[in-house]
Amino acid sequence: MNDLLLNIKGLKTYFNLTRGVLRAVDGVDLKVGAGEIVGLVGESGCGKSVLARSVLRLLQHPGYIAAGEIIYEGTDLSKLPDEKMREHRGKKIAMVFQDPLGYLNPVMKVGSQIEEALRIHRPNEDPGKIIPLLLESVGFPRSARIWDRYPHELSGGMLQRVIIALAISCDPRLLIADEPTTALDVTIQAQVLRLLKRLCKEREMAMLLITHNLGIVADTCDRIYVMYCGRIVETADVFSLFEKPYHPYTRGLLEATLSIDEFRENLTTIEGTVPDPINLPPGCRFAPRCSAARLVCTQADPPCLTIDALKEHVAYCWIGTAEYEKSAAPLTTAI
Amino acid sequence: MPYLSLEGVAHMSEANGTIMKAENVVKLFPVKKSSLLAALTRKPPDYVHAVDGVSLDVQVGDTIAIVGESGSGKTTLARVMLNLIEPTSGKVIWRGKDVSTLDKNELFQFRKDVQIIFQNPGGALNPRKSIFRILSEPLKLHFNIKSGSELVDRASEALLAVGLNPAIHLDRHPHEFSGGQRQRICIARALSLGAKIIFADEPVSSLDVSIQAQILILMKKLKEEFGLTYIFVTHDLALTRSFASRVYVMYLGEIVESGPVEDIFMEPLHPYTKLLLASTPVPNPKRARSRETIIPVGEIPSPINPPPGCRFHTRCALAKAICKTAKPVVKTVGNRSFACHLVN
Ligand SMILES: Nc1ncnc2c1ncn2[C@@H]1O[C@H](COP(=O)(O)OP(=O)(O)O)[C@@H](O)[C@H]1O
Ligand SMILES: Nc1ncnc2c1ncn2[C@@H]1O[C@H](COP(=O)(O)OP(=O)(O)O)[C@@H](O)[C@H]1O
Ligand code: SF4
Ligand SMILES: [Mg+2]
Ligand SMILES: [Mg+2]
Repeated sequence: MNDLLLNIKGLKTYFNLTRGVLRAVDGVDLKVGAGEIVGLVGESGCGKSVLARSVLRLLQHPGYIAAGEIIYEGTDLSKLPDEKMREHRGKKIAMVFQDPLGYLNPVMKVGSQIEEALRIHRPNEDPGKIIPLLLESVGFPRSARIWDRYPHELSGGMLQRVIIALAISCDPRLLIADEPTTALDVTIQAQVLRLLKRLCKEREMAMLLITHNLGIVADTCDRIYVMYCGRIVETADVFSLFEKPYHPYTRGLLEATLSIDEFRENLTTIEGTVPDPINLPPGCRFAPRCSAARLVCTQADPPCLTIDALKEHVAYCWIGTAEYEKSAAPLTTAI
Repeated sequence: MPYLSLEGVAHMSEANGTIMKAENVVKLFPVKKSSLLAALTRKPPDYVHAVDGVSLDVQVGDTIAIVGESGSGKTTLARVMLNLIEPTSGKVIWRGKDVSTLDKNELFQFRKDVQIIFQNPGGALNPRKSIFRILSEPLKLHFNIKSGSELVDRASEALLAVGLNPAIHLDRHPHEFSGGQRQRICIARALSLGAKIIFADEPVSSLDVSIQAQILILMKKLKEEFGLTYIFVTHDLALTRSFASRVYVMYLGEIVESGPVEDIFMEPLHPYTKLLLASTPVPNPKRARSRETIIPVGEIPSPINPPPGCRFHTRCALAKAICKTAKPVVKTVGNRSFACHLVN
């Protein structure tokens, strides 16, 4: 990893609900180096979006950061006063979401919306010069005069590119992209991913790419975190993760993922469903669905195992430890 | 009493061969204009060319995949084949009969034999009804069953077949189930009616990968158990590779290429098929970085006034002058077909 840009340590983001405390993010460590593309994968509800929103402090009520640090270029964002945080947002870290329409004003032309963002963060520059350049850098030829259009006149893929133009308008060093292509067709998805990769390279911008699609991370990312029930279960360099997945959840996800490259006669999968986030099982949260679980897994949090130090490959699992070997036969798991 | 294996209208035709067919199906939707504008301009109305001359042949026991990006007409084609909407022209043949000429009794058989499951299974289940009512009401209608215990038996059997527990689940309501379970309930309903031909319109697209795989494994098992024929409508090519036997690639209302799944994936012929495959990410970082890249150009054009000549020419890297003016004829080589001027 190059210089550390973002260093999240022990982050806990909770929602106090009438039913109880929902631990959406529950002790996450995550790093993004300068210029690096890091993937965050996991199935829906595991806490990816809450993690992203925590970094930008865009949590929805009643969510709050209960513990941990979010160090960005030496500053702990989790403790920053609101006004200071506003300066960081957009200027140093920008975000792109799955649904671009939700973040654009329907009655305002694209150009005016970009102008507004520029006025806040780059007040001394001429928007008339910057806007066409920005739109060109996300693939719109000048002749398309996209600045003159309203959001409803544009397709989903075009809107996402407008949002990306907005996001990079203030030259952030980190872009957080939360399922940016999930709503798009594959050919448009390929265009948007290619664009994001190019922008990261050209601008030496880092990206935290959130997705549930293992194909996308394999294709796009340098390093990957796998998340389950609010926790990171495994992290590694992309090659190491796909070649030697260690955690049974990662293995299960990979086995359940089909590929255009391979005919699979017998598909296997992870049985059951994710547990109720308010009543999480003790010990390893994956234990109730894990075919390798032993008694110890249900009793204590799994240790952090180094799988391959060079590849920064780490997994949180009991498998391979002395305790696991000694532990009683698999439990009868109730799903 | 195992009702499920007894049901079905398979006896109505021979055990193999074509079970369903689309012949040159066209479905146009008129574009609504204000009547004033229509009166003033006196222009003939515009049409959405949702399906434009599609022929498709489903053999007993096949799993057909109709693939393509959104807006290519996949769902409309399925709705025509399900006899939910009438084609503008062309025919749908079911077990040897033109569906537009079915008599009342045959139509009744058709409604049991051919079923559909959707991407959003929640939408297909009435939230106010218990699972028992959801399963038993169509049974009453289609089989005229009066006995409450027989209804319970049949509903229970269908739930067991899809991996749910009748003792717990019969009395519950749709909102008490997860997305994957709701899709199982929809499948149970189709099975309980003795369906042999199941259209699945993006059946797993809204589900997480582990749940997608659970449903696909179930569908494969049911296919073998009950001798089902599937028509998958999907944009998911990875799923197609492992589940389909035959593929139809659709673009702007037309089939641009069709053939056995292995042939299409090993050696795609049409430039659009190649583009779709090259755009689909592969869960293998080495392959992802070494495989051929095709830069996708532009977006799918509007199906109102689709491009002349080959409809794909606006996005095709190979397009020549002829592609812009002349419609490519469908060429057939062995059991593969394709429509491109530059491929022979
Ligand atoms: N505003 C909110 N209020 C209550 N619970 C929330 C809120 N936002 C997210 N959650 C819960 O936090 C958990 C993690 O959600 P999320 O981060 O959106 O998952 P992912 O993005 O991985 O699909 C889920 O259980 C979700 O229901
Ligand atoms: N009832 C309708 N009225 C008008 N246009 C329709 C109707 N149904 C579908 N269309 C149009 O037909 C085209 C094909 O749609 P559809 O069959 O849903 O494609 P797909 O399932 O491949 O995404 C689209 O342009 C869509 O807007
Ligand atoms: S016919 Fe021409 S435009 Fe159409 S796909 Fe083939 S090469 Fe491209
Ligand atoms: Mg999310
Ligand atoms: Mg559709």
